[in-house]
Formats: sequence, structure tokens, C-alpha cells
Amino acid sequence: MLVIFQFSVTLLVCVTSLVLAGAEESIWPAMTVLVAVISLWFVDRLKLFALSPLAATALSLLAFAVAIAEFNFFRQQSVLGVGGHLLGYLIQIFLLQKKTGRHYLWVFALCQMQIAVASMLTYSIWFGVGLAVYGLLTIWSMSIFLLYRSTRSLPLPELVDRVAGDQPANASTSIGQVWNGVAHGPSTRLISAQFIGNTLFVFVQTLLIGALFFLLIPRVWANSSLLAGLGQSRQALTGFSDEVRLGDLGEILEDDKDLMKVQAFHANTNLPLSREDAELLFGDDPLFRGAVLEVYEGGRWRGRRQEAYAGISFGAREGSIRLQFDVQPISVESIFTFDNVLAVQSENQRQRVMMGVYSNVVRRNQNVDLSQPFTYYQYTDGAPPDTWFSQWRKRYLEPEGNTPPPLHGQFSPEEYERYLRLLTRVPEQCEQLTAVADRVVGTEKDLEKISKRIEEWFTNYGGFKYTSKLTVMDSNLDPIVDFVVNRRKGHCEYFASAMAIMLRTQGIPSRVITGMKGGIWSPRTSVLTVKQLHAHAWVEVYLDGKWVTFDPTPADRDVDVQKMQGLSGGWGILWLDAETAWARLANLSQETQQTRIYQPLYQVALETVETTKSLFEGDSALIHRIRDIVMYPDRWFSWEGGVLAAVVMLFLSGLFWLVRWAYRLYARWENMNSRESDANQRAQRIVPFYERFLAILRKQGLEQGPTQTAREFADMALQKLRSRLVSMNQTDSTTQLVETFYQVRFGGVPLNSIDLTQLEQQLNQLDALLSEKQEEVQ
Amino acid sequence: MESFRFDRSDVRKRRDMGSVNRNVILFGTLLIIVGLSLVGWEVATGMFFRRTGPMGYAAVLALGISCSVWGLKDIVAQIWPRLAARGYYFRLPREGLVFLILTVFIFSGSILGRSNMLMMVFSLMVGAFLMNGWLTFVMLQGALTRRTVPSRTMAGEPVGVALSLENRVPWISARLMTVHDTVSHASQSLDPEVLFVQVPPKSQATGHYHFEPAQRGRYQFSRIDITTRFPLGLVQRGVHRDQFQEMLVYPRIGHLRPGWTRQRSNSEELSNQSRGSAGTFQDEFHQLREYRVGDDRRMIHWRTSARLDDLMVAEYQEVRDRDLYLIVDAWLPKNASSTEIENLERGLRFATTVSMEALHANRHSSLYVELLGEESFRWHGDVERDPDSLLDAFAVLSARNDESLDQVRQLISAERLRSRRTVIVTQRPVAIQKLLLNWEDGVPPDVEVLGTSQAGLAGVFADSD
Repeated sequence: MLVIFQFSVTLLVCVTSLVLAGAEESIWPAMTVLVAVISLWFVDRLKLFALSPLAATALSLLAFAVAIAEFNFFRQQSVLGVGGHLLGYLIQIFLLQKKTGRHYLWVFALCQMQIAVASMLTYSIWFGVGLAVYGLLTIWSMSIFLLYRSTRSLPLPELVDRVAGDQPANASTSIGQVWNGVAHGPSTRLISAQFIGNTLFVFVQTLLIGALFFLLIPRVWANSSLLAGLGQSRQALTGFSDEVRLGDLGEILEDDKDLMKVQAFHANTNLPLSREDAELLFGDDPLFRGAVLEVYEGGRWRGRRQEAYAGISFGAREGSIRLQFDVQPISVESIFTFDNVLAVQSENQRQRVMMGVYSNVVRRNQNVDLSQPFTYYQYTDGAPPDTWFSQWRKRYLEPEGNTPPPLHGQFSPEEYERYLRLLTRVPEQCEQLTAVADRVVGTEKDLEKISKRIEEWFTNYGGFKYTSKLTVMDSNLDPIVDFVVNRRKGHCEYFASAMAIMLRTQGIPSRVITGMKGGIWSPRTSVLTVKQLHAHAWVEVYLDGKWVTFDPTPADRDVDVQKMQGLSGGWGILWLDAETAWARLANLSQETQQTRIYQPLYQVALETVETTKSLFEGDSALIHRIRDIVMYPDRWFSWEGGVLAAVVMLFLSGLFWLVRWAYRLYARWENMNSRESDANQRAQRIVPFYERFLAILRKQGLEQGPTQTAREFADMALQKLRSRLVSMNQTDSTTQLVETFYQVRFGGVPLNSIDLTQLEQQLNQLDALLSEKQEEVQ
Repeated sequence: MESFRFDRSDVRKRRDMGSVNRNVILFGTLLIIVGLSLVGWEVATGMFFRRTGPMGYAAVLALGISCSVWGLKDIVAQIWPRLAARGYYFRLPREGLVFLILTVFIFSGSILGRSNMLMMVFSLMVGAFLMNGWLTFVMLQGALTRRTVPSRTMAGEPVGVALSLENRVPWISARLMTVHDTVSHASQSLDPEVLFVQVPPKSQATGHYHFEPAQRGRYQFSRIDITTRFPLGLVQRGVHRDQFQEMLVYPRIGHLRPGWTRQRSNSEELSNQSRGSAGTFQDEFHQLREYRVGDDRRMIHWRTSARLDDLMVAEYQEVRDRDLYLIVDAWLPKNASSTEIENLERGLRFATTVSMEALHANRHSSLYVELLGEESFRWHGDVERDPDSLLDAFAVLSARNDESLDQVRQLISAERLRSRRTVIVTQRPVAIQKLLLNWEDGVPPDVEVLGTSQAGLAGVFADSD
């Protein structure tokens, strides 16, 4: 029996180690498998050796020292990686000891921690598979552990379920001893097919409950939404607030919630653009410029605080296009613009829209209610962004040019110089990227080519891969450095950030832009719908007095298409679907929960309430529908038929349960009544004349013993009082009285009034005579 | 199939069933405060409503209200246990506590690290924990237990107590259910248990534990607890049911030493009348001796005479005991020491042994017993037919603290005219000897006074091992 348990624990340790090895993409954690097998064979089975507690303690200290050394000397190692290794070392040390129950409990706990570490290192679907196997093995091992521990079949000390501190009592004060028992039931085999079935049942139920929790727990992450939310009452669109933590954008990349709708009109005629013109204008992946991020510190981007704003009322030029933006409440002040901005104005004239003169970010006035939808118009000529403004800036920065009146007094050439210098500043923790950028750039001196080369390094030959999953945070390295040097996987925010910083290392001013890329074009309505999942980040580089857009995010879409084409069978498609589903789960965000879980559930609840209400109100439509399903057998095997059958069965089950409950209640009431009636009957069984007889004898000092029958007592009384009763000729009457008692008490013979009177007289006579005799004696 | 787990001397302190557990009340109050705070906070700020919509709002309110109701339930159940008559309770074993701490740790990690994958691990752990709790509850709901206990036994004799467990759940076996019994006596209690490894659906199993009472008296069997941790051992749930039963435990019977027999011989009437053959009084063979002149020739035992080549006669002795009148003076000083209590118990063991010996040894003499305790008891062998009542009285006899010897004096006075052998077993032999020496009413009666100390009974009585 012990063998099964030891094998189970070994298997559990092996699976845990392999999961960690897979997550870390390193062979090192898998070494625990070797130790586990050795321990099983040589320590547990053959009992050839075992670590002494002292040696185990020394090795544990050594394990900590090794972990610290790993962390200090191998700079690529993350804290999590080192932590995972340390857990592995400790598991190995526990396995190599002669194990008690406590050792096994430690192994279970350490395995759990290893799985937790592994979960932080990977997003692969294989982790999901490993997690499920781990769950099954844990449930299996813990069940066996409990089974053996309870039945004491496991010859391990410290497994006895005793209350701590129980000691054998002193024999002089002890009230006794007990020998506890075990009832095995139908079979003495502890591990049977039923037990295995039971474990599987528990596992499936655990998975279901776990899945429910996973889907329903609101993703209110700390340090962002939750903590920020405590200070403000509005929820800003993730990734577009004034300060953005690297990786925030990933939260909404899987969210298909609508963000805004864009329509294009001819500015002069106010007529919508033709479908062809509109498609030509937006292209395949239109970029909608949103927030501008200029300062990077410790994994966070923010805008420059000393920004100056000016109203944008340049006016629509002849032949320009007016874009109408209908934005959902996003609770951020910055709004989106497309291509070259000629002018922007709110639908509501009282709500002003302004533009930052250095960052060119367009934002609403502070008195606008950000929790309301917002509609505004932008005029553009379809030229690249910054076209108009760069011309203006050029003229403004050159003294001989004419300064355009709208921004007069707001723009300062000196401040702009400072602004550009700021955009070439490399954070200290990112200095490591200078060498990387130098290697990528090589001997190239042309700024535009340098920018192009870095962009291509990210998109083509740098070995980078796009993923919308959150990238592992390594506290030892800056997230951007970690991304460039180690992981090389991430979403647009990482690519844009890395490129911006690398450009800065080359002295090229650059900034990160967050906005939207793409949208769903409706040819029928000529409306471009942009969803949250279109969120994107890119880079603007200051080249030759103009801000030029670069997008370093790889186009992994083509790779995915190729992958789809390379799949031959149905299993491949199935696997891909599973991977996609897994990716959605792994990136489950608050917004996704809101749209795909909470709202549908809420809707279902509402509909159920409405349906129930209408049913009670006698809504004929529903009743007719039900009647139709019942009347036409071909509709029985439809989803409606299934639902109806389920509802009917539920109703019948409920009815059955209610009836059973009522019956039990009735039975209990009846039982109580019958007990009461029994008590009454017992009371009635007391035969009064016999009671009086007992009372008379009691006066003579004669008591009926608890184990004496009436006849025995009568015999005893006659013997004691024989001399007195003989003299009074009462012996026969006493015997007769007892016999009468038996007839009444057990024979149920009723007494008539004559009998009763006679008995009464006999008792009176007996009482009187015995009393007299007693007085005489005294 | 049954086996026994030999956990000797598993004595535990009596559970303080009636007292209020302050920790539970504190925990309940804390839950109420936390729950109400949660509700108040959500209502005031609407944070979850804004972030997660009506479902989140409802979930937070439900959580807060549940916490408050749970806390209130705990407090009510502690203060008015009758209101919580269902008797279910919950305990977190050490493993469960560690598991819960790990779960909270992992949840915090997932929130702080913004890790969905860690949240997945957390959810799996929560699933396992809840599953464990749910399954234990389902198994307990369908469990019904009964006890079968003998009504009488003797101290030092192991008795088997049968506990049967019925699993009324139609779809799942009850596994690893431990039925704990409560046996209490003299403000101490024992918690024997029977482990039911498996009880199939809709069936019943019976297990036994053995119990060896060490003291005489009434043993109460009261509360039965059914507990289980199956399947993972993370959560222990239990349900208690009150099933009051009683078992009378007689004093343990020991061995009478030859000293008692010698004393008996001295008091026998016609003790040395030897007869040549077995008479009508159940005469017993006494000895073989040489023929003396004058011996009846019929007494000659020819076979032995032939073997020894000398005339030998067989001598028979008529043995007929006097009636035994046993007075047990169950007296204890007010603040009795453990030695004095043990002396009293020894005296009762001796008296019980003597009584049983007298009842079994000879049908031609009668036993009369007077038990002088808090409540006196009289048993006269000439009229009583059932010794059970005597043993019952020995079992439940309570000592009295009254210093007076009046009762003893009265009994001895009444006995003077009779020829019964009178033995007083007492813890105060000196006082009674003094009473006899200073007997005011004529010649002091012939009474044997036996002290109950170990030395006092050393010559006549030995406890069983």
C-alpha cells in the first residue's frame, strides 16, 4: 500500500518539476525528476541511505546560498527563476530524507509553490495541460495520504490525527481506557475502482469550481485600476491615462468593446465620402493618434508636464475632409486624431478642444464630463501627421518666416529645444540598450536610416515575436531591457518603448504614441468602428524637423495565416482553436469579463425575471410557444425542447423534494404525537389500587425493588408480614389483589364497580389492621 | 471486517460543551463588521458597480451580506445552542490552514503581479478547497448513527460498544467518516472513536470500540460526533447528535485472601465436628489419619490402609457458614484526599467481592448487606432473589460526610440478638472500635471491623490485576 503512495508523490514531484522546466525553458528544474526517482528507489524502497536531519539542515542552508549566488552571478536569472530553483532544491532535500507525514506535507506545499512560480513564467497552453495533470495528481496523492493516515495503514510517525497535547492519563484518575475501532465496510482493499472513480469525480468538480472562480473573479488589479481607483472616481481607458505602466495596454488588446465610430464627410458639401474615397482615405490600418508618452521611468511612461496648449481653429481648407468621431466614455482627456490635423472642434461649442504645442496631443478641456460620450470633428487633408504643424514650426523656428497667428505666444523655441533634449534622455536602467542599439545600427550615420534599421530589427531579423500576453516582470532588470535582452516577446507597447529608448541612445529624439490602429469598416454605412482591441502603440521620431511615424511591432498576422495553411488535419485546427481559447483565458481582462461574462449573465438574469413575470401575467406568446413545442414532436429534439424538458424535470424534482420534505415533516409530527400518546398510555398503565397497596406496604418499611416483579414483591411482603396477616386472615386477599393487578395491568381486563369497591374495602381493611398492629408494637 | 486500533489510555479532557467559545464570538463579530463594511463601502463608492457592472455590485453585496449572516449565525449558535440544533460545525486542520495561507498568498501575488495564470492556480486551489468542504457536508448530511451499549458491566472488564453508521445518500459512498463517542463519568470524559472506511450508498455499517471502565458508577454516553475530512484532508466538518445512554459499572471484584477464610473458619459453627461419612449437610472430606481406638470401624479407609499397611480412617467435616451481615460504612471526610477516596473504593471492591463470594459459595447461609452512604440501601439475602439490585447499589453508592455513627450503632444494636457474623467495612475503624469498646448497652457485640486502607485489607483482600 505504501508503494502506491510513494509512487504517487514521486510522480507529482516529477510533473511539477517538468512544468517548471517547461515554463522556464530550462533543463535545470527537471533535475528534480532524477533526484525523485533516486529517492524513491534508494531511500524509500531499498532504504539504502537517507539524509540525517542535520545534513538536511546544512543542505537547506546551502540551497539558500546557491540561490543567492545564482541571483547575483547570473544576471539573466530572474527572482522568480531563482525562487523556482530554490523550491526545487528544497523538494530534493525533503525527498532524500527518511520521510514522515510532515515531510510529505512539506513536499505538497513546495510543489504548489513551484506551480505558482511556473505560472508566472509562461503563458503556454502546455502550462494549462501541466496544471490539469498536477491538479489530478495532487488530489490523488492527498486522498491516498488521508486514507492511509486515517486508517493508520501508512507506517509513518506523526500521522496520527490526535489532538495535540494528549497524553495518557494517570491511572488513578483515569476513568477507563478505550480501543478505537475501524470498520472497513464491504471490502478491506483501501484503493478500489470506486475510490479511483471518486478521485476523478472530485477532480472534475474541482476543475469546474475553479473555472467558475477564474472566470468570475473581477480582474481588479492592484497598482493600477484598484489603487488608482481609490483616489479617483472615473475609470480611464487603460493605456491612455496620463501615466501608463508598461504592459497596461495588454489589458484591452483582447477586448472587442466598441471605442469609437468614425465617419468621413466632405468639408464643403457636408456629404459623406464615397465608399472608394473613404477606403482610400483610411487604408488597411488607419492610425488614430491618442496619447503622447515622453518620459520613461522605472517601467512607466508619462507625458511631459510642462506642456502648453492652444486652441486649434486653423479652419478647414478648400477640399479638406471632415471626420466625425463618436467616442464612448473613456474618461481620459486626450482624444484621437487621424493623419494631418487641420482643425478640431467639439460638437458642443462650449466644450473646447486644444492641442499641445510641443507634443501635438489633442485633448478636451478639463470641464468636460469625461464619463459621457463625446462627439467631435477633425479636419484633415489626408497628408501624414504633423505635415501642417511641421511647416508651421519650421516657419516659426526660422526668424524670417511668418508666425501663424493661432499659436502666437504659446510656443517657445527655447522650450522646444529643451523638449527635444528631454526626448533623447536615456534612463539609467536602460543604459544596457546602448550597446544593443550600437550593434544594430553599426556604422550607419544617417538618422532616418538608423531609425529604419532599428525598426526592421524589431519587425524582421531581431528574433522578436508578437504576443498580446503580459510579459514577465523581472525586478532585477528594467522591463524594456528584459524584453530586448531576454524575452523578446511582447505586445506593441514593448516594441514601441524599446525602439524609442534605442533611438534615444543614438541621440535621436523619439516619443511613444498610444492610439488605435485599424478598425472595422462597414461599406454599407461607411462607418469605421474602432474597438478597444485595436489599441496600439508606435513611435514618432524627430527627423529633419518633422515627426515621422515608425511602427516596430512585427506583423505576426502573416505568420499566423501561414501557420493555418500549414495545418493538415482537423486535430491541428482543433489545437489551434484550443490555443486561441487558452490565449483568451490567459489574457482575460476586466473589459472582457464585463462584455462576455457579466453582461450576458446579467441579461440572462433579466430575461429570466421578465419571462417569469410574463408567465405569471399569463403572457399568451410564451404559453403558445410551449404548447407548440409539446404539440409538434419534431420540435422535441431542438434546443427549445431540451430547455423545456430540463425545466419540467427541474420542476418535477423540486415538487418531489417538496412532497418528500412535507412528508418527513408530517412523519416527525406524527412521531412526536405518538410519543406523547405513549407517555399518556404509560401514565394510564399505572393501576391505582396497586399503587395504594404499595403505599400501604411502604408505611411498613417495605419497598418494591427496581428489579422485583409485583408477584415477587408480594411474596416477600407476605413472608415478612406473615405472622400479622395470618392473624388478620389477609394473606389470601393480598395474593388475590396481586393477581387482580396482573389481570388489569397485563391482561387488560376491565374492572367493574363491584370489583373496585371490593378491592377498596380490602385495601382499607389491610391499611387499618397494619396501622393498628404497628401502634400496638410501638 | 474489523480490526482494532490500540490506543490505550486515550483520555481527554471533557469538552466544555456548555460554555461559550469567546474566539468564535470574536470571529463572528469580526465577520459581521467586515461584511457590513463591504456592503457600506460598495454602496457609498459604487466602485465595483462602475468597474464590473450590476453583476459585480450584486456579487459584492452578496459577499458582504453572507459574511454578516455567517458571523451572526456563529454568535447565535454559541449563545443559544438550541437554535443551532442542526449541530454542524467546521474545523480547519493544520494542513488546511497552511493550504489556505498558500491560497491567499497566491491570490495576493496574482493581484499584485497582474497575473492571470497565477489567478488560474488560485482558482484551482479554491476549487479543491470548496470541493472538499462540499463533499464533507454532503456525506455528513446523509449520515445517521446509532449506539448499542450494554446496560451493566464490571470495572476493569472491557466491553464492546457498537456504533452503526447509516449512509442515506443514494449516490455517493460515505468515506473515512469517524464517529466519536463521548463517555463521561465523574467530570472526566473519554472520546473513543470508530473509523468507517467506506459505507456504500443507502447502506449501513457497524463498527465497535472497546471500552474498559476503571471506576464504578454511572457512565454516561452522550454526544456522538461524526467527522470527516475526505477527500483531501483540508477541511474537517462534523455534526454532533445527542444520544443519551447510561451504563452502570459495578466495583471490580478482587480475590479474597486466605486470611478471610481463616476468619470465616473461626466464626463457623460446628467447625470441627468430624464425621465418618458425608452427611446431609453437604459434608466435605476433611483428612485421612491413623486409626485411634474408639473410632468407628466404618470410618476405616481400606484402600489407603492396604497401601500404607496401617489402619487409616477417613474423616469428614461438616461445614456450615453462619449468615453474613455486611455493613459498609461509606464515609468520607469533607475534603477527602485521593488516598481516602481510593480507600473507600477499595472497601467497596472488597465488600462487593465478599458479597459475590458469599452468594456463590454457599446456598445455605444468607447474606445481609447494609450500605450506609448518602442514601442507605438494604439487601437481605433471605428474601431478595436478584443480586443485580445489590450490585447496582454498590455501583451508585455515594459516600456520606456525616461524622455521626448513629446509623452504625443502630444496626449493631439490632444485630445483637442474632447469631449472624457481622462485618463492618469502614474507613474509620478506630472510631468504630472505640464505639464498641465504650458500648453502653451491655456486652459489646461480636463485630469484625475491617479498615479499608491497603494495610487494613492486606490480609484478606487483593485487587485483581
